[in-house]
Amino acid sequence: MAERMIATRTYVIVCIVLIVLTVLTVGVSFLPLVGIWHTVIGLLIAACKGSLVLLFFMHVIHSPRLTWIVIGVTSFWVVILFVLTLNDYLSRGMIPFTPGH
Amino acid sequence: MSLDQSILTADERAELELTALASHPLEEQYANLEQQHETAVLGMWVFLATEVLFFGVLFLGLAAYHIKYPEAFEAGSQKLNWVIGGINTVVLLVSSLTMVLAVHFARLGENRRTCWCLALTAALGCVFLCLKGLEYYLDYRENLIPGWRFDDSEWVQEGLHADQVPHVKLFLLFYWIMTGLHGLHVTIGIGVVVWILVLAAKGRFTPTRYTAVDVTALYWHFVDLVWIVLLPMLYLQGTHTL
Amino acid sequence: MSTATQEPVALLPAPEPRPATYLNVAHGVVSWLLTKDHKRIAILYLITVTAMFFLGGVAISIVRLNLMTPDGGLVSADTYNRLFTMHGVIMVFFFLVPVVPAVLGNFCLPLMIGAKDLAFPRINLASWYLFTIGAAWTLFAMLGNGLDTGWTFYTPYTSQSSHYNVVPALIGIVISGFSSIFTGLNFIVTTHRLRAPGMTWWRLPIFVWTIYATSFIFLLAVPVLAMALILVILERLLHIGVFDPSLGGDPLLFQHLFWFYSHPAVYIMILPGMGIVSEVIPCFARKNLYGYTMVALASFGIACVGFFVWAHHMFVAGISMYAAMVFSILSYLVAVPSAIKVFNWTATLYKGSISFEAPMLYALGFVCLFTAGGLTGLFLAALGMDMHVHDTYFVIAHFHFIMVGGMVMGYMAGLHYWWPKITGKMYSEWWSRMSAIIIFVGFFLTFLPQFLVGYAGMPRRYHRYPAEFQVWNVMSSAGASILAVGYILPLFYLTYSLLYGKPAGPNPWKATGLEWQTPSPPPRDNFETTPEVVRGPYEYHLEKAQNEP
Repeated sequence: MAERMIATRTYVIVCIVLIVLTVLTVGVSFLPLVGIWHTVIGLLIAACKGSLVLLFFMHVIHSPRLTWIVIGVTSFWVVILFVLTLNDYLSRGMIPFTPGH
Repeated sequence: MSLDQSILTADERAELELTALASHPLEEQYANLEQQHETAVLGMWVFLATEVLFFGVLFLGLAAYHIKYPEAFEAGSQKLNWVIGGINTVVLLVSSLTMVLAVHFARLGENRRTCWCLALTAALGCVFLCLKGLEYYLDYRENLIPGWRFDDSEWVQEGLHADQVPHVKLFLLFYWIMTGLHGLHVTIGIGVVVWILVLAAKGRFTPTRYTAVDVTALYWHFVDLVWIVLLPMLYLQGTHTL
Repeated sequence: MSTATQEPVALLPAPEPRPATYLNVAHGVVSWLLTKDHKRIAILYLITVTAMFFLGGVAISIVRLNLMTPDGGLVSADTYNRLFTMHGVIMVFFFLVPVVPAVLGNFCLPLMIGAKDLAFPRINLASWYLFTIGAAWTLFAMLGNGLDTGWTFYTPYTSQSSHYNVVPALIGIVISGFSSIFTGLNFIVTTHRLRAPGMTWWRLPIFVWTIYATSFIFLLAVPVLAMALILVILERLLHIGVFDPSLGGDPLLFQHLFWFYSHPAVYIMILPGMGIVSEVIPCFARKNLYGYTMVALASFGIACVGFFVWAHHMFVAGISMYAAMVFSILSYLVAVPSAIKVFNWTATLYKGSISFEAPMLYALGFVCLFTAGGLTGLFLAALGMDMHVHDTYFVIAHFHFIMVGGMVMGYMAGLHYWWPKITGKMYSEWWSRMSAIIIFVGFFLTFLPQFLVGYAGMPRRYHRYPAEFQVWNVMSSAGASILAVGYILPLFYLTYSLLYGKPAGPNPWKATGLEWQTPSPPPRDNFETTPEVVRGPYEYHLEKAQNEP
């Protein structure tokens, strides 16, 4: 309640940018790229869109530090979940396991 | 009785605050309204953190299997209806705009505009669900429901090896579960927004007591955020051709 | 001879009006079932959680009776599987995870930070209902057709083959999982926003730090379990799912998701116990907690690093060797913050004025048994050793040392420490100490033989075993019966204290801490006026300075 207010115009501009990014992400999917690039670019654009929603629509840009900490910790933990699990999937077969040796 | 508070005098506004306070008093454990508001907002952020982990599991499963079966997952992705998916993305983005404007107007005490924005948000949510329903129906027609309507030979014709066809079923399972869970969250969101709309129409919210609108908006934006990540991860893997 | 008008003689002094406490402020079952008071909700939890504890105990009593003879003739193999599953599910999900946070945390957290209640009292009540409904749901599923998957619910057995009540049992666990999420959310927000003036982070009692760290784990880990179980439920209902090997699905994915919750879950169980011990030891050693800052930070260290080690439960399941090595190293790291806490408790005891009331006996038992159990965890973190002892009684002994020798003793310490505050009554000193000693002796007799027999190769979850292990199994079962006596005794002397116990007064242990500055039992709003905090949580040395000339 003590936080600063964002102008209506800013909200509308952010929404337009989000729609443009949506068109972009769909458009990129038509480019002839190797599969992994579609995933990477898709995630990058999604990250931009997500950041705009977080910062402006969810008012994070004017939120107290604790909100930033909650977002940061949650993101880090999702990364942990992904990294340590995919760590297994990506390395299966790297080091052969020979029982009895 | 929808009250546009921007036309009130300072005295009338003060009286409105007092009556709002009298009918919905401050909870015992809080020292003032501001602390109560901030605590509610923090509570919603913490709840959204748990939702992120909840959905995160599904994204992890999708990622793990995509690594194992890239061709099958890309083939599956290309069969999904990106047109409806894209339109739905825009629908949700605009609904996020109307939702944040509802909060904005509630904070300014402009009750009529708050009600309109809430109504638009709920309406756009319903548009999303209708388009989703249409999409599901089209998926049914195109045999994209593993375990119910699925034709192995179609996928072999698409260029997949017979061994890879079961992996497509895995992809489609994730599609159905993830969009279904998301749709459930949208439905719940619409319900809450309508409830808040009813309260707003009764004049429940004032410039210092609009916590419920603020907190509902956070939830709605989260639902939008999930869809923003779902769109590329489900619909836009692999190269599309028109 | 008496004159006509005579003042009536007052034969008895007028009874003092009974002070209004949270217990007598409203009467009737409905006032309890619709309460928003965190203290009453704590009592509601106490009742349901205690009931679950004894049910889980009954299940394992039958198991241990069956294990008295090598050919295990007491129950069939199927029934045996259902019994140990019931024991595990009840003890993990419906006792160990909720007990300290939902009972003692609910009661003490607002008092310790100087608040009138938690941030969201209605969500607190909802949390109890979700817990009770979930527990009842799963219990009926297990008592009905039964569940034989073990508390670990591994796929594809759970998702495809098992003929038992998998879906209802898992639904109940998901429901009670939401109970945990609500509790964790409430505690975190309360600790951030409702501390009394002057109650800075570095003046918080360690119990609050550990409850906060526990809540942190609730919030990040439980949703993952909930989704994993929902995926299994869907696979069973739809007869097609993401763990199905015939589709290319990986059953190990379930294990990753399951243990992502269940390993931090064991820290959910132990951290509040550590918090209790950090309260009890300074009080009964009359000494400031040694290294407060390190103990507080170590609570966080355990909560965080505990999230990075889960696949040490999967070393022989089929994960890659590389991942196994990474998780092994991380598992060694997680022992460090726990060890820091043990050193600090020991240093607190050094040159303290130690007295052996029941809470202290339990706390000392915790330190001893947790350390022993924790050290055996390091054995299990070593890949080579784990290959041999995985799925043997060595593992069972390890986690029971920590959970029963550690956690349950910690809970008993807390229950006995705060009982006077909760009820306003003192319990029998003699019986409580006797009970603590009986538990300690019974514990050793039950679980020490299990290390030996597990190392020798006896596998877990089997209703029969080779005859050479019988001596140890008989010792273990005998110990279990002693342990049972030790756990049943408090039901008697604590209930007795409710009826006939001496009034406790606000601070029977002469402890520091805000919860002791208010009457026992506390009034509905905890404090007459909002307290203002000016000093740290364990200022026992001030008392010492006052006593010295």
